[in-house]
Amino acid sequence: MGRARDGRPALVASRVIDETGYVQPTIAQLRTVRGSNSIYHNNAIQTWQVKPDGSIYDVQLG
Amino acid sequence: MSSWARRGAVPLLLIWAWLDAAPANAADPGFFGYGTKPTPEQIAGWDIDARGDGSGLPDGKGTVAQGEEIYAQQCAACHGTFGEGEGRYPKLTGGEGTLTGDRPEPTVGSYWPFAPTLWDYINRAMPFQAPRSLSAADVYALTAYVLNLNNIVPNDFVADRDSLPKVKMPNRDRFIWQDPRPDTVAEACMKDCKHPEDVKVMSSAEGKDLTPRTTGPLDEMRPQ
Repeated sequence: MGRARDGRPALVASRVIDETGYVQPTIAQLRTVRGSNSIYHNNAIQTWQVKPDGSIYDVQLG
Repeated sequence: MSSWARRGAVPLLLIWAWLDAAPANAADPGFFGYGTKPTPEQIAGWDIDARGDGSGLPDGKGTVAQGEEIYAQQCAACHGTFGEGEGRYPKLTGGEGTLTGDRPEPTVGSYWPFAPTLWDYINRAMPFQAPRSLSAADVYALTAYVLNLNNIVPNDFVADRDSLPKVKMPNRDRFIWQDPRPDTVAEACMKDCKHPEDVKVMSSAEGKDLTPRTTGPLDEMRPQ
């Protein structure tokens, strides 16, 4: 990943661009358009927080 | 046979084979080395959809009262006695007027556009732990009951292939029958997109006990 293993916390996310050029939105962008309870089709970027002790949490960025 | 004749014969044979194969291509793609041709009975087993206009609905019928009994046995544990939804299971009732708010509650009453596709959904997907286990009549009865829970049909309503297409669902006219997507436009930033100080975690699953810890040995591998 080209990142030093220095023990600091990290946020891991991936973003796709489909064959039409559509760029996967952040959860904030998606929520602006569809509200916070759209249930299905939550295709926003998923972020995982890795803490210094190795624990991993599902987080949402502002 | 001269070499000229041999060379000439090959293209002719290829053309003949191509002409022969071409008309069949659309219907029969040929054999790919695996699989068998489905029988009409197998195709019928998959061809189960009922559409908004009622096409595909089968024979049979069911009443609100019959549905109430089946619902109590098959549905209420998750969807709640009155469709209010247990825990985080989907609500089937309520939610009117919420669709444009910050927390839309799409239910049969607030959202669902067609009664026949309610039959279709229950028939293909419910109950969650045993889909396709209900008879057509049971599904008609459940459809009638869930519509009645939402005050869309009266207590004496009988659901069948004729009555369901005639039910006017409350939200039907508010659908936009064109796909609005893409409804977000994001820029594909590739470099130096954000300063780390500007990245804020707004919500975290940490400490919320959202994941059941009943999966065995892996639990012991979690940090204490």
